Amino acid sequence: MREIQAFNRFQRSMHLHYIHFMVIFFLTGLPQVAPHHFRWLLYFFWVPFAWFSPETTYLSGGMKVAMVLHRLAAVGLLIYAPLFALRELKNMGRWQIWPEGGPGAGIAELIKHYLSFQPGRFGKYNFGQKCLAWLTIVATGIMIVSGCILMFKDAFSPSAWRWARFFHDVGFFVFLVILPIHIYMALHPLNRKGFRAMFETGTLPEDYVKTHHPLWWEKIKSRGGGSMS
Amino acid sequence: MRVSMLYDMQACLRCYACSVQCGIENRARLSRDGRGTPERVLENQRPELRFIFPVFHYLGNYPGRAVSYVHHCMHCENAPCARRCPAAAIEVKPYGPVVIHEERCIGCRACVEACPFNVPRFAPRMGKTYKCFMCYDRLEAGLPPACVEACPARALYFGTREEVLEEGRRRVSRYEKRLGETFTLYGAEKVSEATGYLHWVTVGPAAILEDYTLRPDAAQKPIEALDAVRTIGWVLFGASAAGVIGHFLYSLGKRVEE
Repeated sequence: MREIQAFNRFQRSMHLHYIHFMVIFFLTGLPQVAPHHFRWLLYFFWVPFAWFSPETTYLSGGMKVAMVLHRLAAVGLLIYAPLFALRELKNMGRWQIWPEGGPGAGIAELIKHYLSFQPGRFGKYNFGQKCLAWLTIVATGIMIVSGCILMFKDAFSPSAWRWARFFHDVGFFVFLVILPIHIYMALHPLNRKGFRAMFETGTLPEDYVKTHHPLWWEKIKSRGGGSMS
Repeated sequence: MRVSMLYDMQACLRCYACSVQCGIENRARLSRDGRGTPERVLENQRPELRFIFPVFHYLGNYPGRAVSYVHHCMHCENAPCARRCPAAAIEVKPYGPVVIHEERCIGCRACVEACPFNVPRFAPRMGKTYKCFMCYDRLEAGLPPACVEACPARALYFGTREEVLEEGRRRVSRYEKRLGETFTLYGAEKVSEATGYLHWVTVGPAAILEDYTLRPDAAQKPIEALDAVRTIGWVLFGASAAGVIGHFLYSLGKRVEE
């Protein structure tokens, strides 16, 4: 059966590394945003560090290590994200996250897919995925700008630090709310083909695209190709 | 029993003996704690260890009106710095003083962000943040804070909260009677939701208190708004998690039905 390319290697690699960065950001960021509930995480960072610096406590040493790891992950993201953004901006005209029909129709199709378990009339992405994509783009931008201010505090005024802290928190909670939904939907058996495309092959079977992504299939046919980002 | 400090702007001579004494006391503490000989620690300037110091600035158009105020920690009842410190390095003592423990500080400057009075000072050389801790070690030994002991004009006054408020009100009414001007005892009552009342109260003319950074609703708005952001965030997270669990159960039921 013919396969249609859904994600190229670079997109899949970016997605995979974004997961790695997110895991580090969350594990090291939670003790900072909600110290009373997540201080216990600091023990894991502190135990190896205490070997080098036994005078520290899990709070001081662990938090310091957590902050350093948080910043190292941020540097990694700062290297990766602009490369990804530049490449994607070049192909902006072919993005599949632009609206296709109104939100009412999008939600109706989502209900059909997730509650009736029947194929919805989706494009490459459904309405929920498009919302998630835009929220991720905006929240990543917020996190990068506010994170840079917080990382290079000496270059900014305390007033800028305060607003950066505020927006860094807002961005964090955007991710905290959308990521469980995204992860659950990705793991749900209904979306197994999409999961395989993202993590294994990068492709979707043509029949699956025809039935589950009819709007996208129409675009592919009109372009006469088998690959759309 | 809660303790408090009083600073009387009207009685202050601007001699800054308090500031000098504070610097000496804090450096002498280093010697006491085995971090250098007395000569060595006093020779080292360590400006960050002067927790009370004068700040000069000009108000209005050039040449403006020169104003000098004494910069120090207000020891807020709700201590925004302590609430925001991720390393729990700042402790609010049950009797009032807000104490930053140097050995626990990780130099993240969250307290600098949170303080409505811009008090904590970050020392890049040490990688730590410093602020007044109301000589809590002296208090626990039955001594007044060093700055109070140094003040030649009794512009600084220390005692139990009741004593300090009583003394403050006495001074306010005396100044109002003599000078015919309204005076305020700043910090006796709640200043803002962020700070609560203050353990360092200030007697001064009501009309010019703001020129001396004593604002009526002192708070760092973006930082205080974090509480609302976090509450909303956790509620939405709960809703999202509930949705996920709900759909998972629905999916299981649907499969059994099929």
